[in-house]
Amino acid sequence: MAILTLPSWLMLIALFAVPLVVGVYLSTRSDKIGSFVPGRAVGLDNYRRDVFQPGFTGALTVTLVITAIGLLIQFPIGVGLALLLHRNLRGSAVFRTALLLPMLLTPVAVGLMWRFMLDSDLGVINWLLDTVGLSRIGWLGEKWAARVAIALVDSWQSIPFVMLMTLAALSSLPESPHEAARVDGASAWRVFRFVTLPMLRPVLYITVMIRVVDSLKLFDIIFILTKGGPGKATETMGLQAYNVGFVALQTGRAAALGVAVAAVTLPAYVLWLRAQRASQR
Amino acid sequence: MSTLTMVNLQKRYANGYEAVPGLDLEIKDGEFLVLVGPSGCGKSTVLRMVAGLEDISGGDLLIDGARVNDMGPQQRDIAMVFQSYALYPNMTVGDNIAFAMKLRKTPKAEIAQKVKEVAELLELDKVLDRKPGQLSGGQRQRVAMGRAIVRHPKLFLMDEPLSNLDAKLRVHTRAEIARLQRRLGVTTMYVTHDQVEAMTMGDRVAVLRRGVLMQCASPQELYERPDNLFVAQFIGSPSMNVVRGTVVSTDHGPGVQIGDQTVELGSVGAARFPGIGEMIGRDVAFGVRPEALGGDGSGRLTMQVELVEMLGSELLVHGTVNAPAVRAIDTGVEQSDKPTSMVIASMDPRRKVEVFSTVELPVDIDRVHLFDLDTGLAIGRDAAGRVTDSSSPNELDKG
Ligand SMILES: Nc1ncnc2c1ncn2[C@@H]1O[C@H](COP(=O)(O)OP(=O)(O)O)[C@@H](O)[C@H]1O
Ligand SMILES: [Mg+2]
Repeated sequence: MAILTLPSWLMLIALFAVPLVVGVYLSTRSDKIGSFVPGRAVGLDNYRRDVFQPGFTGALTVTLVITAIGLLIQFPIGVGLALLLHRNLRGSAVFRTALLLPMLLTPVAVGLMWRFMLDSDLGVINWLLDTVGLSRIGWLGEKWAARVAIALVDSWQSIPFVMLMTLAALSSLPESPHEAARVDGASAWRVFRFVTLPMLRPVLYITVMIRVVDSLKLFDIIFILTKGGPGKATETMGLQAYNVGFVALQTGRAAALGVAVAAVTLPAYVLWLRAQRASQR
Repeated sequence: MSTLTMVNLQKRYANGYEAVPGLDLEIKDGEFLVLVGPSGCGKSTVLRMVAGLEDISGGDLLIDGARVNDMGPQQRDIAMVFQSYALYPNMTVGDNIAFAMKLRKTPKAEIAQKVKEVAELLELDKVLDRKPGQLSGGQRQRVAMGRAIVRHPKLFLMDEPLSNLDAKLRVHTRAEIARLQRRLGVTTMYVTHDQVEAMTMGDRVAVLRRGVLMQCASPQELYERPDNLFVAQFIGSPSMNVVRGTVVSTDHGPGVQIGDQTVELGSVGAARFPGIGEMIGRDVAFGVRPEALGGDGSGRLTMQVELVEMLGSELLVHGTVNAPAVRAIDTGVEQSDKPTSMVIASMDPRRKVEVFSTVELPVDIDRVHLFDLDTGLAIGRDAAGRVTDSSSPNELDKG
């Protein structure tokens, strides 16, 4: 048995363990790319300097805020669409295919497309707001507007995923408890609340965890849309590590930040694994 | 306490399939009506229309005389037991039973009291805190029953509630359900494909074929006086022997010639089939149940014994006669191509019957049935003159 799983173990070690160990090693050194001074061991200096201080906790907060806004957008809409499509109304098939498109685009293309649409002077979104008589919003230039915009774009791309997961779960649910609830006297909302939702819970939980983990690592869309601005209003943990590592070229400090990101994401992974195990029972 | 009335109730599915072409049926207050028929005949469709889970394509559905076609299932005050039980998997047994009452904002104390009563009645008191997934099949079935009876609804609907139980439990639960229904007195419509269940449980039994009502009567009436060949062969096990014969006239009155022999009906037959004098020379389906062969009787039927089955309480003797078998099928009546057919007789188990011998069986003429070969309708039904004319419209081919 052990020998049969050996190739998988080697692969896992090469892909995950080695980078992790190297990362942890780098995080205790003072290396800088292009520096004439050779790197040396600095112990936990990088952590002291970058992780346990307001810059990092700020980025962590930004990350969590954007994640939270995103979840609040993605789940009601994604689950709602799934419920609609599950009723198999006319045109569902076409609609379903169309809804999958955002998922198939690369984040960079999505980011660029939305950057044009969100442009405060020339963007179609402000033009629309104008047309219906609302005031224009400086989407990418204001703190909260920028955070919401990022959550919105991320959601636009991930709603299909939430929808697909929910739809798959819905179609695997037995029909008869829903019918029993209707006969028992439940309104459509209560059938959903007391019968459908509890049965969906394991899958929704896994989906939330996947989305949280994805969102904690969110980078490309923010990089294209705001580069972390205005100020540091949308600088997430990933973006901060990038700025330190590839803009300031301080690999040791960036590695320390990277390890911190992994440490923050870990609980979400653990919850995800537990949810998965629970749903298989 | 309620009545249920169906007036020309119709169901056409979205794909155009006409599952129920038009059903007239009335269930009296407190009555236990069983809807029985082969699989796919539309029993569940009818039940689901009554529950409001399936749209009604035509006709009227009345509960207590009020039309409920356009009401949702929520408003009909019906309780239903599903074949799959349809328990709420995330709720405990107690919550499953209490769900309908909670929806109706029944006071908590009253809910607790009623759940307790029902749980004791159904021996579920020890598993109230378990989830359905942790129950045995029989317990799940009882939870489904409990969910229905806790409410005192206008109607109980049950769709093959016993089909997922093993044989022994099924017989036990069958009696339980019948007893509960009689005790509660709630008007009940019960669906099954099992004729034994239908016969043992129902006050009246409605036999359905391809969405068409074949006969609705008490179990005894169905058994003794089937309106048509389909009911005759569907009800009873082993089922009624039916072979092709020709009506003839003998020295002792009318008879039926079956192959090379003649079963004399005599004066009993002449009284039983009033118009038979005018039918001389006509081919008919001759039907007789196994227990009407081999006991007492004035008629005589000879057969070659092929197999003898000893069941303890009776002896089933299978033999051949020289006449083709006749069978009710989904679309009408079918005659076998083979010139001989199997006939089963039920005899006293103390009798000795040799395989491959020839036996002459007494035929109880009072329990002989004749059916029209084309329409399958019973000939000469004297009772209240319901079916006496075999040339009446072909009711069996409606489906
Ligand atoms: N949703 C549906 N669409 C089309 N035909 C259906 C549908 N449901 C059932 N039927 C057909 O209607 C007939 C009656 O079905 P059903 O009422 O379930 O039969 P039963 O309960 O007597 O076995 C069957 O021939 C079945 O194939
Ligand atoms: Mg059915």
